[in-house]
Amino acid sequence: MGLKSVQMVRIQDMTLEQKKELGVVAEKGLVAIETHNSEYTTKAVTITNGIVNYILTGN
Amino acid sequence: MGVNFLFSYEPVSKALNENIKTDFALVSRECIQKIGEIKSDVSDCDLWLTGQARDKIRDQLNFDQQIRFLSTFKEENKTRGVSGFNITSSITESAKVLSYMGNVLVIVPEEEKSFVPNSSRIITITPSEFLFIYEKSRLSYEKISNKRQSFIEVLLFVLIEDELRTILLQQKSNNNGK
Repeated sequence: MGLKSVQMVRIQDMTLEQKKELGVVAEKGLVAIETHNSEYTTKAVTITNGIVNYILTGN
Repeated sequence: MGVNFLFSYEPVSKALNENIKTDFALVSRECIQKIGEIKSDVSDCDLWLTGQARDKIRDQLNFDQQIRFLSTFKEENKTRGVSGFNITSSITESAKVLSYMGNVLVIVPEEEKSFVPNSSRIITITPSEFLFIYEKSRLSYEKISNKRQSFIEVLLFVLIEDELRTILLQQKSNNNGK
């Protein structure tokens, strides 16, 4: 199953509770919050290699 | 007021095509990466494409890449469906619309610069020029000991000021000629 949706957010704009829930450890930068349609799970990808790499590889 | 980056079709299309290894593609990729870093620092900052360019680039990507691409680049759709506008000419109108919200940096290839005239809100620049000014501004910013301005404010100051931008781009041109 493919991805259903992605929201790009700044880590600085997230609450501590949200960061803990999604397992985000970085203090700043961008996070892609991916919601998968297979079982409605949410995964946070901290973008460390730039947004072009994220678009192309998902990392 | 925010800062918006509006890209023409070529830089994004080339940056997202791993098979293209030209200087323009590599520089465009680096330019987008830097703008992504700016986006992570600035609360009111978005990356935009015209609807026509966004559709065409989306079609070159696989399904998962499309989802990630569409979440990264917003659509400015003023000329979507309007006859007489194509993938190149639509960027002028999109830049104008985005300029109502704040400063707009329009990233285009050299041959498209004349399509989007600079104004007090709109700065049209190539990926290579953007990277040069970004690096210069970053070096200057790092030298400031007691920072009261954010990096984006320093960068915008350099980009907006016609004379300063022209001098720096002349310096870039001279460096390339050596």
